[in-house]
Amino acid sequence: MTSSEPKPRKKQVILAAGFPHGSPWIAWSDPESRSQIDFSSISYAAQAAEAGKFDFFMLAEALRQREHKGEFYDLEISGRHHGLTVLTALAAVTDHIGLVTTSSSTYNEPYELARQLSTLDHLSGGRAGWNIVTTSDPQSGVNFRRGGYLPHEQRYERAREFVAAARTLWDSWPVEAVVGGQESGRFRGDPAAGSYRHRGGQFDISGRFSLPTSPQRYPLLIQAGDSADGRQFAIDTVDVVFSMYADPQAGRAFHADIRARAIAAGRDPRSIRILPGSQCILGDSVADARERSRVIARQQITPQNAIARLEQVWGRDLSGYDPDGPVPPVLASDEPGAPRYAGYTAGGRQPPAIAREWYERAQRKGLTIRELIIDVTLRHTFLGTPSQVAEQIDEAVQSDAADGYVLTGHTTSVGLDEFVKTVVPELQERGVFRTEYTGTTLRENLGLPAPAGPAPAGWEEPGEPDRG
Amino acid sequence: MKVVRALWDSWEDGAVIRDVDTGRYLDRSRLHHINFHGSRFAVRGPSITPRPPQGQPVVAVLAHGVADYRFAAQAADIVYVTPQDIDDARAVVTRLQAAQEQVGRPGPPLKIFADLLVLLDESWPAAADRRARWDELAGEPLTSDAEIFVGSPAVLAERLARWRAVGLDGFRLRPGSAADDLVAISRGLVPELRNQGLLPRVHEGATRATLRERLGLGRPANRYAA
Ligand SMILES: Cc1cc2nc3c(=O)[nH]c(=O)nc-3n(C[C@H](O)[C@H](O)[C@H](O)COP(=O)(O)O)c2cc1C
Repeated sequence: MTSSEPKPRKKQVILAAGFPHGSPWIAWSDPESRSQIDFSSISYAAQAAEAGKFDFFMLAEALRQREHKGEFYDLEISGRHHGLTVLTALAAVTDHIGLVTTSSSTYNEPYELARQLSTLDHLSGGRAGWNIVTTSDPQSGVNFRRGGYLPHEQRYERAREFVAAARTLWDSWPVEAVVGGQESGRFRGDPAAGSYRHRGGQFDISGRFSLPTSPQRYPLLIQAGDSADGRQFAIDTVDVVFSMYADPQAGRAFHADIRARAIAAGRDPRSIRILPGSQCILGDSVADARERSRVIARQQITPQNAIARLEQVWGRDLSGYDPDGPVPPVLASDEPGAPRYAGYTAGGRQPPAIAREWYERAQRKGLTIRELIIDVTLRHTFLGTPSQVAEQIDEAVQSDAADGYVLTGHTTSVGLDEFVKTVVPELQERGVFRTEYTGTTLRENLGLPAPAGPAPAGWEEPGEPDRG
Repeated sequence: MKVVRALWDSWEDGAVIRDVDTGRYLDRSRLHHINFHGSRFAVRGPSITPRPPQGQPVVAVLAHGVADYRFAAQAADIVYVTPQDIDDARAVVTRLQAAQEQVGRPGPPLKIFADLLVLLDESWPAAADRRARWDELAGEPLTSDAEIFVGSPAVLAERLARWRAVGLDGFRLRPGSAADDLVAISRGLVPELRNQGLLPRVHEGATRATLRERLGLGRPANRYAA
């Protein structure tokens, strides 16, 4: 962003493209839905989002093949790549769009992850982002040497220290350390460049970081996690919050909470962007979009899937129930189910509490099992014609229900094509969305200041005598 | 390596079925826990990523001694070795054959590649000159675990042909400098090798061949497949 540009009159909408490979948001049975593994379908999706001038392309993460009732869960799309590796390949076939990985602070190590993110930032010319998650699936530990799992508070304690350690690493090369001059015969102007030490309760590491400072210094930092600990971590640490409050009313309440927390912590609340995950369903009219939403929801939540998801929360076998029939009551004997994974539920809440809440919801709204699961899982937030959807998004953003959205199509690869073709021009017409990328880095495109970083020892102001 | 190889097999080919009628995306009988318990790792699996196109990506190990040879024989597809001359190359090949027998290596034999650090120029004096300049700049002579070849592409091509005859499958050339030697390899050495029939004129088969195919390794069967 050049500061000489006139300030836009209206708050600008941020748009990100999600590429979830393992969620019910994808209707894999739709013949249009492509592979989530072939690179051609991933690059297609990233390039489509870039053609739509989206801020970033984002990959979710899972570290374990899910199971249900002692068997592999076979009802939803699954199988996924290592996100950072895919994004590094995407850096070569895109020019402007941000590339955001979701990576766990619980099952990674700071040195390794900081290095991979730095590589992505270098290779993409400053387009890297990191969605920091603490991994809510307690079963993932079975695939890791450390095994076991950390209690909830300790996961965020580790996350805080993880980010602090990563920043220490990213700061370890003074910016002007790479001399690489033929005359000097030295590659590093400062022979100590890269030396670091981080000491804390979770990590005690020291050594040499192997990469010079990357274009953004730190990747864009994003957080997804909804508990009080998670929100506080966001305030203290990140640039963007990825939330699940797509509904505008819930979004405004979440926005207000983040704002209050920021003010209490002495942070300018405008420095945090909030992006809920959402889906748009387009049609020739509202009625048409509603009907499409109904059809798509039924592709996303199949009858088998509805029962399985209910079982995960109820914690008992419900295979005898009719998915199009009433929701069974919660029994005193119902055990908290195996891993909760019916969407990301608010932190700390246990399945029995969720089950009771869902049961009441079904009663109140008169929902069948399948309708309930659709209601609690999906977020078809914006429905209507392209211009109506653009208006809804604009209004939501202007009224601080969000700063923008992480959108996912309901089909892999091609799911956002229609949005890019029809809604993006409407948003541009309204003057709330870019027509060209104005910055070079992801941070610049989001209008975020470059991280200052600490003044390293031996720092020399520009203009000092040549170091030849 | 045991863990990694088991994880690569933990999805059988064809595990994704997309069966709309039953609502099943996966055939779950084709996914497998690896249930590995060793002194260093305990991993349940399966992998979160489907089996890759090659089934098992190519694994290479740099080996300097008998213990390394045994590890390579158990775990790798390619072994990089560092013979100092042709007699040494012959001896290394014999030792690697013994190591493979000792560990009862299943599947195709190890592909043996010799490492060479190369400084190439039109003529030996020009290349030797560059080496001398580097030594002077660094203040110490250039050393390497691998044999250092200094000379012209034509002479290197002859050396490779002779070494190959004692049982090596290939070579890993470490260019002394990317700017000079990498270019000399592609412009000078490759045509020489083609002339001597040591490299195919054009890559046989499609440009789309997998690395395993190119190396003649075949696609390994999945240990979990019925
Ligand atoms: C919108 C959203 C998206 C998330 N995406 C992921 C993801 O891709 N991978 C993952 O392991 N966890 C993901 N999470 C879960 C968080 O990592 C976190 O572990 C979980 O929400 C528990 O933390 P909490 O108790 O603070 O909510 C997501 C959470 C939210 C709210």
